[in-house]
Amino acid sequence: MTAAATDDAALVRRAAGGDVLAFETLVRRHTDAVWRVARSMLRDDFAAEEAVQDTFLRAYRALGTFRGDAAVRTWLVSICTRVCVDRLRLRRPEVVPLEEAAARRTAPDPDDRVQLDAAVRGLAPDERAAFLLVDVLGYTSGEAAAVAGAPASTLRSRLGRAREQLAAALAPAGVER
Amino acid sequence: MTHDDVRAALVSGEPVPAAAREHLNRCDACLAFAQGLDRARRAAPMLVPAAPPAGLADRVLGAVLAAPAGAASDDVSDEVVTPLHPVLPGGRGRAPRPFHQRALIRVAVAVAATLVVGAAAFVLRDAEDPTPEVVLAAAARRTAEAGTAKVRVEGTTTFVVPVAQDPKTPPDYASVPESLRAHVEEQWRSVMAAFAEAMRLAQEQIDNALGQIDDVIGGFTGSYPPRGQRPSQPPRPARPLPSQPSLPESIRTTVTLRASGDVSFTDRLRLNGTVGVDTEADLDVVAGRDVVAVRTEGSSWAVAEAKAGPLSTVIGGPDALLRAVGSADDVTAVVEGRRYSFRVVIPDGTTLSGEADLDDAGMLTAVRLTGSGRNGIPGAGTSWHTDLRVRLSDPGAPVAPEPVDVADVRARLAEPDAASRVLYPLGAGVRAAVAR
Repeated sequence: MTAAATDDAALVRRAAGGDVLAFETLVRRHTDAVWRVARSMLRDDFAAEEAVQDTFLRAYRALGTFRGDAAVRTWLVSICTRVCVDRLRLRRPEVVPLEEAAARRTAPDPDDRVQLDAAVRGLAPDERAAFLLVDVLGYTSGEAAAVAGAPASTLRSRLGRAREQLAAALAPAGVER
Repeated sequence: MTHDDVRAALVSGEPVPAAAREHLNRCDACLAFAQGLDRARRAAPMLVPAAPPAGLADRVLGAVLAAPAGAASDDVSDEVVTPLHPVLPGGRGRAPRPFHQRALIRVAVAVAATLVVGAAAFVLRDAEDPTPEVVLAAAARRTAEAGTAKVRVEGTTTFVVPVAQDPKTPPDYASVPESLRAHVEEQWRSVMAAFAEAMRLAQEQIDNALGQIDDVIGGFTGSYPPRGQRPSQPPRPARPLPSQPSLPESIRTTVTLRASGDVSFTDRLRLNGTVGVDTEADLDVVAGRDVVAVRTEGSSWAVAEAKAGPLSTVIGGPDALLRAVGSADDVTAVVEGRRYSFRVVIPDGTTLSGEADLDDAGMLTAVRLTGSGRNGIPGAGTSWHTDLRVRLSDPGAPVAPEPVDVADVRARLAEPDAASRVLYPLGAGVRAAVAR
């Protein structure tokens, strides 16, 4: 475990004992990481900010239950991912109009980022989380599995399904079976 | 290898086996798949979001430290988050609650929602279609374009707590907002006292009636009176026997708000006035687009995310506003006096009914908003009903700055037992709320 992780664990213990400044330090240290996950997942600044607040609120309430099995950042991102997945499940499915999708596909110089962004929105929440954590935010598969609270094999399956759908969406002329 | 085998190999992230590469050389579909995957991989880093917005950590701290208490739990995914009250770390115990804070914030949120709904109702409308919707939307747009206005608000929020018809079963206090529990408990004691008194009177009347019957029967000597002397009717008491006293079906607690101030339709609402249940306490409210700062008599500023209230989704952000306005399509016009009735359906299912008055210039002058809902606790019977009347005047009026004593807030946070008493966010959080 790194020095920073050890320091984090100590901060959690102090915060659990009522040290507000320790908790403040944790919030300031990990807000960026939690934000990036929330913003990537929800694609909306306001929703992401709400998710970040929910994450730290839930973490604050559960400080006494943190066992230190994982890094504090992994623990927080795990909470955040669950918050985001729950929110995504409550949302209506995001649908890209056919005309828009066709225009994107046939455009001579398609904006891959825009296209990918639209395709990511069409992923199931768990698959979206797997793709964003690993391929966008650079988490290792192991870290992502810990964050998702799922076995590594499950994480790999979700990641594979996500990549398949995204590849199909960004394929130059569509993908036939 | 089959198409599926090749694609599985491609998405695995592992080195592509020679057989798969060979397949790609002769299969256009899988080659297209591979190209799509490559484009996705190259574009993925571009999805990394920008740095968080300024002041996010402060707002997080403010929300957490002003959040409601809850039991410590291993499961951090199933809580209803309504960050309106302080909580001790690890869910241990509860900190002192401010006077009516939660109810106040609900009211404040509803007030802000009222204004913002009106101000934002101008989007996505066809200006050439002279339906009531369009007229109302145009009025909202004109009002919003004025930027600011003076505002006066009068409103009530009533919480209705069901009562079991069993004197031994108290109301479900857990479903009542923390800040109102003392009032509900007091009401329950009053109800029980009245019930006991009614029971005593009823028993007294029954005793009297039985005494009268005994008197009548006792007037006959010997055995049962002979036929000619029997009363034609059974003896009756002077008054009918009382019916069994019953408990009321519910206990009601009403929070009343009266305040005035100014509003900037794009960012904030500032109010000064009174609020309370039995007695009215001084109140200051500053509401931003997604945050409400409240200061009641004898306390410092407390900030809560506007999302905590049932109307929160209305003011959660511009996209939330669009959703709310998008559902506000049930508009009818009352011809006399330019009054428009409308409905807004909040995504959580809450339906708000409204009325808006327009002036000769086609601007909003008054909005009334009513709505009912549950108290956010699944299975709980407690419900609320809000009725708010908002009057707007002096469009374009300047908005007064709102000073916040940042040093005071920071000093409170620095105290050793701050977590048990801190109802206040970091100063920057308040300042951010005010500045929005």
